[in-house]
Amino acid sequence: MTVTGISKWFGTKVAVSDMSCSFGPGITGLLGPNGAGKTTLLRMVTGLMRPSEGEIRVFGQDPSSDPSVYARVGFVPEDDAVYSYLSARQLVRYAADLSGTDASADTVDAALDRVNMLDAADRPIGQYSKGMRQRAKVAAALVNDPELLVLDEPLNGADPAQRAVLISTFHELAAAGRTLLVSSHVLSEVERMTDRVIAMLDGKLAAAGGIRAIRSAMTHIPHRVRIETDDPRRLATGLIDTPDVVGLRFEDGGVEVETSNLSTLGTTLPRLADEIGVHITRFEPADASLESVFRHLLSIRR
Amino acid sequence: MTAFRAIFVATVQQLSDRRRVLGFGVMALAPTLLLLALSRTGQFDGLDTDLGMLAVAPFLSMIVPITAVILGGAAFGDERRDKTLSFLVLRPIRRVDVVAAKTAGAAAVSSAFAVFGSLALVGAYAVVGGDFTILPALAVGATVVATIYSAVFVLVGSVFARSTLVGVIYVLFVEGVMVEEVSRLHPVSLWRQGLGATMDLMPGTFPARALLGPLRGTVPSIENALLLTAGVVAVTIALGTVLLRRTDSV
Repeated sequence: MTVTGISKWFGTKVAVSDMSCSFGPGITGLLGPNGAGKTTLLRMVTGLMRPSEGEIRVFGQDPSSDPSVYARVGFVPEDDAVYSYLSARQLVRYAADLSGTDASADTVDAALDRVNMLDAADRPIGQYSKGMRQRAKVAAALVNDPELLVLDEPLNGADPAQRAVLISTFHELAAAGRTLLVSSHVLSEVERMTDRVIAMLDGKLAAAGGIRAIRSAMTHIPHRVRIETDDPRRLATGLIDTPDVVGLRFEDGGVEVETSNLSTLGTTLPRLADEIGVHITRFEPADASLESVFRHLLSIRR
Repeated sequence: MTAFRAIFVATVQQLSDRRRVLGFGVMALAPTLLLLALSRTGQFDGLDTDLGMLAVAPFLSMIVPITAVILGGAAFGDERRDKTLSFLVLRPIRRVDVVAAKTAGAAAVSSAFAVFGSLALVGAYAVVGGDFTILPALAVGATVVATIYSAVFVLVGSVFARSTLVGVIYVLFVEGVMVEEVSRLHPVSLWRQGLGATMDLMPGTFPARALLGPLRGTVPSIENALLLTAGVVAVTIALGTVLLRRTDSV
């Protein structure tokens, strides 16, 4: 899926502005605060909305003008977008019929089984919890074995066990070479699914790529590193005079260091430890988590 | 199952929930209750009299149209309200199939209520001293009305969230007051297509056929009624397809 220079505006409000990116096999997380334009972007890439400007290609075709491409695409919409009068089994069979794929009992059961829905498959969806409705929607999206799966907040309302089932299903699909684009505002869950993200802020592409690579590229924001040692006080004293160290904080069993140059610290630290006679037991970035990266992106916006 | 058939079946299921079956079922029986009430006045001579037409006319001009307006509007209206339209349109199927199947489903359910109402009305007529011979004529006429209003309001419901309000205003004020006053518009009045079909199909011996002569200028023949109905259905499906293709489906 490739997106080239797409924008979408509603009257004077710009929802998505000049976005370009591409998605390949594996899971890509689409991140952004409410109103960032994630849902608008997902609706455009699936062909539900036409971009005001720019071009979208899914398997080389424009999805809004060539419906044949949908035989290879699955979509899980956000909200409670379900047919409450159908059972999960009927919904999955309906999806199979609409996709022109095999709607036999075996195929339908296989899709339901993937999301652990076989036991409740014959109850009306209107009686399901929100998490069960999400799983029913995912089962319906999987029945045609799509090569591209677009999921808008698929974990909303799911309890921890249901989330584990869904995340495991997404990992299996990714391992099988499928392309998954997952939108979520729950960063810890995106982090459990993938380290490849696209972050949106105010309708614009804020960052794209691996989480650590994005963090490394933010050179103007000091890096935080957690160092565990047998003598934090002596290490801190030695680090105070080290170039590029801009802050220090004692933590239980170690020191958290703020540095403007991570690679310099990486080469200086072993020499310093040797000189002052302290033993380093752990050295790890403290702000390369998705949440930290995202917080930095938000601070840039402000 | 083909996509068309799958959407048709799902639409029938969507529009036939218990609440709607109960509500529209009771509504379809209203003219029958009116007929039974009239028969107790002692002045009732049958459906072929002016008093009898008091029961048939509102059935064709109000009960069936309002039922079809609400069901037609709900065919896409429910999908928009429940945000399920993406489930239909993100499929490798032509949009014309989606609109045609939705229209067929809405028309089928509306027609089922229309036929049920016709059966009850003619059954009551038979009980109070008439016969069943008018049943095919009334059932066909009611089906024509149900189909034409369903088709129009499937289209309206795909555009406006308040299609029921638009439909009720259309039935009560545009058709019931404005068109009523302008006789030149009668041949294109939607419910009169059903009246024309009913009148034309009435048994030759049915006394109300005598009304056909004076009404001929304002009520279409069955051929014209069927042609206009087919034309309206084709145009609404075509317009609905264009709208579903061109507009953002969310």
